[in-house]
Amino acid sequence: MAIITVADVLKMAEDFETKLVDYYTKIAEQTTSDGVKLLADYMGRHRRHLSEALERLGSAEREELYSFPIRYEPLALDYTCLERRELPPDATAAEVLDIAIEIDGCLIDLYRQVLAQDVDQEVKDLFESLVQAEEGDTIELKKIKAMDYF
Amino acid sequence: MIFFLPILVFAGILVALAVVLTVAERLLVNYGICKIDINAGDRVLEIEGGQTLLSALIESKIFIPSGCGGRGSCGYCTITVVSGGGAVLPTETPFLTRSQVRSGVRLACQVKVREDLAVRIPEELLNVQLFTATVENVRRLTHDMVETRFELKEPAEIEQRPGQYVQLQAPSPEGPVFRAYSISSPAYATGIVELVVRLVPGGIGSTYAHSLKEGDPIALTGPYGEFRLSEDPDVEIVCIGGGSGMAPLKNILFSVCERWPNRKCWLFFGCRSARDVFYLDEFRELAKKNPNFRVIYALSDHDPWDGEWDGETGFIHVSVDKHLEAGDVKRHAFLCGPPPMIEAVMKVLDEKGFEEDDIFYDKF
Repeated sequence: MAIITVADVLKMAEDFETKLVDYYTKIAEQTTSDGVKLLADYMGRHRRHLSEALERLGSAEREELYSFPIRYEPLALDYTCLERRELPPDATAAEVLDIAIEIDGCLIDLYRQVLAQDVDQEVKDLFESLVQAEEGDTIELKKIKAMDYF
Repeated sequence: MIFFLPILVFAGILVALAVVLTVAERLLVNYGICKIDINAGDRVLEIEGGQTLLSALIESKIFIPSGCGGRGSCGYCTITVVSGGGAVLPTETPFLTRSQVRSGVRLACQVKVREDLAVRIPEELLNVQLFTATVENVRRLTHDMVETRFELKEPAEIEQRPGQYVQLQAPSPEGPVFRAYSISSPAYATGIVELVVRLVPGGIGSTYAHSLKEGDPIALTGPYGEFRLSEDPDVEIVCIGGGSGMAPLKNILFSVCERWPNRKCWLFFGCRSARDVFYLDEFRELAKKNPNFRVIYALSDHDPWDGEWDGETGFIHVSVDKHLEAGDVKRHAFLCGPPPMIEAVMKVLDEKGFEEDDIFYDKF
């Protein structure tokens, strides 16, 4: 069995974030609502939580972290997390925000699968900060929804 | 039943262990009395070790802003820890930049006081007070927004500046928590604090604010936040808001028009539909007293069935683009609304010649 490392898990998350940017871009292109377009454009542009978290680390620290082994491979990030969330062109801003909140949950699940394992403290710190970033994003999305502007 | 027994026994053991660990921490881990040195000896607190820095400061009547009740999810309670406090926790890093971490900035709710600490706290936060008040008036503004006015009791007056906010104490299952709300009453009304609160389903603060009735006692702390309104009457004031982002703008505009009745100012406000419009009549009245005040409301989702609408339609950044002239004018913009709206407005203001330093908004 191949050894799974932190780098593998982060690659999985990075691929997911890239797909997510495409997903929001598609929503922005297809929507018939100016508000949803404004919102989806914004969410696509601000979807860099993973790279932001990694930028906070020094490059040597980052390289060291990448090579840490993970005992159990986390369940692959379920791409249906995006695909089963196809939105009609007339979806409302509230519907888009609800889905964005669920999608944040998919990433939180992935990071928690690593945190549930017996991993080194440095790895734990990184994944806890990633969970925190996604939870922070969820709070922001809920606040945007509560402002009822779009 | 036989299948549930092992589960129940296992769960029971886990609960018992948790209780033992909690009790053991209380009894065995004794950090004793710890000292917190504030601003290089200006004030030294002696507190029981083991609690968070945020709780210790609140206990000593130093009210650091905190929007989430100390759960580490808002990132508001930043202070500089000069010594002590241990390493930065992973729960703090998403809220701190690298330069903040290097300068010792921490989230007070995540720092446990286990040893003597030295901290730096901005002077204005040391002046924040705890107020007791009663609800003087509750006014429904829209289907999901209320304006609540509190009459201050102790202290009886507040010295607030336009754009500042208070923290309302609300009950929660885990004990009292504080929620931040901008002050909508003008600075000259020193005996009251007025808040505008939209009901957020499941939200602790907004549910509490919406449940208040005349005569109810409440507690709040404040004022918090920087004062950014220029005292130069030649500087034009441009307020732009959307959704429920109105409170600080109302405070700014009423305060400005009272002090400088001819100062040039604008209000651009975006709502979704006619049923979301509020304060329009009040601002039109204010505009009658100040000939240089212009009020522009826009509906982004106007339904002609809602009745006649004599304002603008479309998103508010489009109205700003339409009405505000570009040019070399001394003016300051104050923005309040969701981040995507702020971003769209910032782009328009940039095209109109606003410098970045002349635009003020709070990340929410």
